Amino acid sequence: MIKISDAELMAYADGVLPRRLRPLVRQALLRDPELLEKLESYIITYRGLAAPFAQLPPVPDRLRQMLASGDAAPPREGLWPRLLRSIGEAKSAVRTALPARSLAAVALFAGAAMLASGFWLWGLPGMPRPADGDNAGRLSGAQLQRALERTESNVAAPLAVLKPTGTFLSTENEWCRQYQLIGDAGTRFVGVACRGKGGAWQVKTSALARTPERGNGYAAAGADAGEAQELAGIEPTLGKLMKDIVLLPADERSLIAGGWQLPR
Amino acid sequence: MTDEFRTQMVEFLPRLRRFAIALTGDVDQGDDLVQETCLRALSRVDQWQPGSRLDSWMYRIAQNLWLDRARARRWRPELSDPEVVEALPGQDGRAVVEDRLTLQAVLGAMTALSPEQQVLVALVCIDGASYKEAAEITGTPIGTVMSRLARARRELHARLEPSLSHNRTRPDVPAAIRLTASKAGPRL
Repeated sequence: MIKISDAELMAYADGVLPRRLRPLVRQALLRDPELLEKLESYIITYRGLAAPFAQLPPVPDRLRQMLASGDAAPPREGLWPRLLRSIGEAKSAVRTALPARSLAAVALFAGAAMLASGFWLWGLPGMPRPADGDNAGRLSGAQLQRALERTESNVAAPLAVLKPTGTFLSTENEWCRQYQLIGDAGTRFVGVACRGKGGAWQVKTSALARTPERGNGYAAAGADAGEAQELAGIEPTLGKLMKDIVLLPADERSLIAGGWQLPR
Repeated sequence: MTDEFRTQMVEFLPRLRRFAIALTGDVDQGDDLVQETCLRALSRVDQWQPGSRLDSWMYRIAQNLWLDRARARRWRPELSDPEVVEALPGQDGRAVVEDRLTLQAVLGAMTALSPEQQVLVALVCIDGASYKEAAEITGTPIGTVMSRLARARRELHARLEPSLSHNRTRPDVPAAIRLTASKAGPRL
């Protein structure tokens, strides 16, 4: 008796088994009810799986526009343009519906408290002054640690002092976050902090944002020239740190919820 | 970027999206994967050979993004959110409800598979790729593709069985045998 393998039976169900082998399969099917059961499973999983996908909603405009617009990346582009675009795309992909107990509230609360007390980040021991460029220091404010640890990027929290704007894996295999910081008189700073092995966020670079603040305290989203200009002060360090493009919102949410596990 | 590249990407978008949603088990997450795949493809357009198959190239990108993520975080998509499925547009009536349930059942059942199995099922059973094409896209020998796929489909069917037995007519197996046996030449 010739034994029919599962792969051969599947190929038979899919109609791709070589013709010379088909009579053998048919004979085996007639004498083996178990094979018939298997055949049924292959037939169902081949013909039955595609049809439900016809009910999917249309392709979102954001995806079509991304391809239809003329601002597609040129060949051999550097890391920085990709960073800018990915941040812009990540921002545009942020879902509007946030859970009621969104962790953005943490940043909101921290921001309001610090604003009320005049307690500025760069006044804290060990905190690099914004003009210090690449000098790294340790964020000592527990609230700010929490903001970096728990707040999703680009969450609308206009009173927050610190707003993460993107998350990425560094070349040193640490999770890093780009952020915006609001100083007194609306002065804005941009920076990057990375999460060390002990779980503490350490500032890698910070600089004065070079464009004036608008609207609710944050620059308009988008990978435009203005954003490139305002981030120029941290670009060198950012370029060295970034291993890959910024995480998309869903991935960032999973990362935060999972406690910032590093890829193995 | 050439017009040919852009045009092909737009045309391929619905298939890529179906693939991504099948992998992630969720419409929003699937769209995010599509977006990331397109961004990655755009940034590497110089690596694409005009005249070669764009779909295979982009499937490879999507697959690699998905597998990297799944392996790194041991990520398994959550079971498809009923609200997501409920939000699907469609006609009124019982047929639509059944279709929605079926999509939910398929996406839910997919989550039980390994990421590698999900890729193969999405390519072959949902997109209609041949075993050979799936082997090329995944960089896996065709024999391995077939054995993995066969196991995956058995498991998938076991997961789908409750939904199938709920409201179905059992396939006429002898008729199915005749049908498959009469199909035109192999495309292995």
